[in-house]
Amino acid sequence: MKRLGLFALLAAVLAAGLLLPDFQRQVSIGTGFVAKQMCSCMFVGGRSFESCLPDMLPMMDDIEAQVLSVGEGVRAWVPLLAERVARHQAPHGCTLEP
Amino acid sequence: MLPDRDIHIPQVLRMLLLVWILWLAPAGAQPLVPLPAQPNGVPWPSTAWPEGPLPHEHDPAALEAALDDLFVTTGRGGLPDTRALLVVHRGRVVVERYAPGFDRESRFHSWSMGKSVTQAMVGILVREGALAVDEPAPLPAWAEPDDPRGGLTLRHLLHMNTGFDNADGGDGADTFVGRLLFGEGSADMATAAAGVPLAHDPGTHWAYSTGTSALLGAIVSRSTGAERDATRDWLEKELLDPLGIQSLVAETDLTGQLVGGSHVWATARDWARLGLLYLRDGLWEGRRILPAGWVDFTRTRAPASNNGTYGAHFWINETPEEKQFKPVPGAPSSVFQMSGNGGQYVLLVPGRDLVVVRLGEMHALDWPSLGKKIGALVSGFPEIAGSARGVLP
Repeated sequence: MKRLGLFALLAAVLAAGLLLPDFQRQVSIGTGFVAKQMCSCMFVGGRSFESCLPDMLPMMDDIEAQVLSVGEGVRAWVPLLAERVARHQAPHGCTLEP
Repeated sequence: MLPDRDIHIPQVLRMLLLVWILWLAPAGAQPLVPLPAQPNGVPWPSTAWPEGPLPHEHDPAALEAALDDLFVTTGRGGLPDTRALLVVHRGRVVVERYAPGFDRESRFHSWSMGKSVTQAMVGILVREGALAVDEPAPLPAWAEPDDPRGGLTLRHLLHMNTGFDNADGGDGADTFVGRLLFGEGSADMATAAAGVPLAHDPGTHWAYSTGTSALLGAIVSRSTGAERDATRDWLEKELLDPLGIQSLVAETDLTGQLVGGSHVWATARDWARLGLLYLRDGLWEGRRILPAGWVDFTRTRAPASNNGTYGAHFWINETPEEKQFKPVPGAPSSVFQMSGNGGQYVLLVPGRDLVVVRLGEMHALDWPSLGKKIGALVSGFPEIAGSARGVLP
């Protein structure tokens, strides 16, 4: 029963992304914001990951973020819906990838 | 007693200037307050900022209260709203405070103050003869002979009265600026910004737009070698090195073109250097960085600006139109400033020879409230004698 509920939830999320382009666009912009701003805050601003997180907009609290394991940058994502990466290269700062 | 100045004007010329201002200036127009010169004996901050005491007119207790009011915490994470506050008076740093975890080496995000940095770059290119304010904006997307956007000039872009309906603002993330900086337009911002059709005659409709600044960023990039390393080399040679700015980072999109409307980072002391350049009429240690008249162009109201408080990619503090708010209440109308989301300010007060830098985050930003706090800080500093009448003392 629990597995059926989880399946239904994932299906609902996927459906929302496919059927609601506006929602998909909002999520893409939000993940882009988090990836870019976290990257710049850390690698240009010189702050820690934990210090930068509260500066993200409250509406983006459900977006996950992690520092890249290779090179300097940040990946931000919402499962099944969107994923964005921003990479840092001095002296140009962080650049957001499509 | 005349204040120390680099320039002294004979008495007869001062009288003639006063007559011109009173009798020949357009009715209702306020003369621009003269921009103060670097005081004699005060070193330029090209290597280090000279520091000095508060003027004796300033009440230290009132200053502490004003600072405490700025460093309150209303946001998340327990950090104060203001992370850096720096005041330069008569060429010296007289106030400098940072929130815990920040210091003079910390870089702070510009948000829309980046627009003013882009404006400085445009000014340098105008001085070099590479660009002209009243020539068509050199953008390939508008180069077709029958494209009405081909008549848009740099002046239209700098004044934000292009005639595009591309204003920032709106609810949520899915706005023109949101899509441009972080969404589908973020890889190539100039192309996204240039693809907007004209909705109004150029010069007749004002719209505050990060997209318009992105176009200026692209023009700067294309004018300085098109490749981002070349643009960076030019920026260092023409602006950063002369001013002694070491921390500034101007970010680009994936094409390598400057973002233009945001995404510039620098320390508070370097932001103050940029502000001082404008307060000193574009001059630095006797060298002209910005063209003659550029700063007056910057701080003169843009035609058709529908809020009356915008110049050329800088905000001005004149009496606003109905239903608009004065950016810095309690501060003189001669104030002009770089301004960015979250309450980023580099404020110039010509009549008091002040640069005020306020950097931080305020997600629930109350612009009028923040403006009042900064106005309270400014009001403690004395006016330069005669500056309010527009006459050099």
